[in-house]
Amino acid sequence: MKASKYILISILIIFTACEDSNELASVAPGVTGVGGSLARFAVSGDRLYTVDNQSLNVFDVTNPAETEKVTTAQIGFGIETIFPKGDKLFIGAQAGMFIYDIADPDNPQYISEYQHVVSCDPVVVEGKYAYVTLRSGNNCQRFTNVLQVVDIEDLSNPFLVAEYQMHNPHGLGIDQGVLFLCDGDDGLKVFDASDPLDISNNQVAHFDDIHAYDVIPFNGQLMLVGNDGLAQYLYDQEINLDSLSFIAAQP
Amino acid sequence: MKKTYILLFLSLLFTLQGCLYFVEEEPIINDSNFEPIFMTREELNASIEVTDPRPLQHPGKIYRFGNLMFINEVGQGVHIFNNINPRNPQNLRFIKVPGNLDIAVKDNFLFVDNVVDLVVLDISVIQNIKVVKRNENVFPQNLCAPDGWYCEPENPDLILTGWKEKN
Repeated sequence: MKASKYILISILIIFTACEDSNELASVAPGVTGVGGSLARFAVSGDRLYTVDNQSLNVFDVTNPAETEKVTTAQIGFGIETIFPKGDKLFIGAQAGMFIYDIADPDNPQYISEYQHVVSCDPVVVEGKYAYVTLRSGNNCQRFTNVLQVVDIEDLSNPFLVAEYQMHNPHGLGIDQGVLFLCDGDDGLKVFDASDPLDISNNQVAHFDDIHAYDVIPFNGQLMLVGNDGLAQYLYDQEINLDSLSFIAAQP
Repeated sequence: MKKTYILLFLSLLFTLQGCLYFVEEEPIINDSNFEPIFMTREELNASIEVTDPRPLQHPGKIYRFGNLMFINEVGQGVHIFNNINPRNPQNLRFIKVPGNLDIAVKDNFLFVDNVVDLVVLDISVIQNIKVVKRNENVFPQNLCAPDGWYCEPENPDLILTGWKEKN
C-alpha cells in the first residue's frame, strides 16, 4: 500500500518535470493569441477565419492537427484585414468595413457594410466604436489620410461620427481607451480616445522617430513593428511610454 | 470617290488583321519587370523547415501568444522569440515557410500560409516543432506581376510562389 503511494508520488514528480521542460508554450486549451490590426488570420473559438482578396474562409480547428476548411464566403473586392470581437467579425476592405455574425461559426452571416472612399484601411473595435484608418498607398491611390470613428452600437447600421486628418496612417490598436496609431513617416501617435468625438485634441504623445506599420497593445505592453525592427514598450493609463527593448532588422 | 472606297476597304482589312493576330494562339509575352518563381507540388509540400534563429530582415506581421512572440519575415517564414522578459527577448527558432505572410496560434498550434496552402505546426515543444497538417490549395495564387504588366496562366502542375525582378 505504502509502495503504491510512493509510485504515485514519483509519477506525479515525473509529470511536473515534463511540464517544466516546455513551460514556454504550455497554456490551457482553447487559448489563442493576439495579432496586429493588419492580420488576415483570426482565431475565434474553434474556428480559424482567414481573408484573401475576395473571400472569407472558415477552418474548423477544434482539433488543430485535423484542421479542415469548412466553407468560403464571397465578400467583395480588396479585402485586407480581419478583426474578431466576440461573435462578430469586422473585415477591413478597400471600399469599407463589413460586419459579419459568427454566432453560428460555420455560417458567417452578413450584417452590414460601412462604406467609405477607396483606400487602404485596417479596423479595430472597442466598446461601441470601430476605428478605421484610411490612407493613400500603392494599391489604393487616393489622397485620403484619415482616422474615422464609426458608431457600431447598432451593428446593422454603422455610421461615421468623427473623422480626423492624419499623415499616412497604417496599423492601429486600442486598449481601454488608449489609441495607438502608426502614422507613416510622421511616427507613432498616442491618443486618449475616452471621448471618441474629440480625439485629435487629445493626442497625448507623438514619437516621430518610431516608424512602425503595425502595433499590438496588450495588458500595458506595446509591440511595434516597422521596417527597422520590433520595439516593445510599457504603457500605463497616464500614457507614459517606457522602452523595454528593440530588435533591429538587418536588411 | 472610288479611291476613297478602296482606301476604306484596305483600312478595314488592316483592322481585321489585328483581329486575326489575336485569334492565333501566340505565347503571351511577359512585358513586366518581374518573372514568376514556381514550385512543384512536391517541392511545396517539403518546403517548411525549422532552423536556428536568424536576424530579422523584413519584418511583417506580429503575433503574441503567452510568453511567445512571432514575427513574420515577409514571404520567408516566422521568427519565434521567447518574450517572457520583454526587456530581453530571446530569438529561439526560425521556421522557413515560403510565401508566408500571416500567422495565428491556438492551443500550441501555429497556423501559417504557405503560398496556396494552410499549414498547421505543433509548437508545444520549441525544440521539436513539426508540421502536423496541410490543407492544400485553399488560398489563391498571385498570378499577376507586382507591376501589373503580366499575368501568368494557371498551371495545375506548377505553383506560382512569388515574383522576382528580372536581371
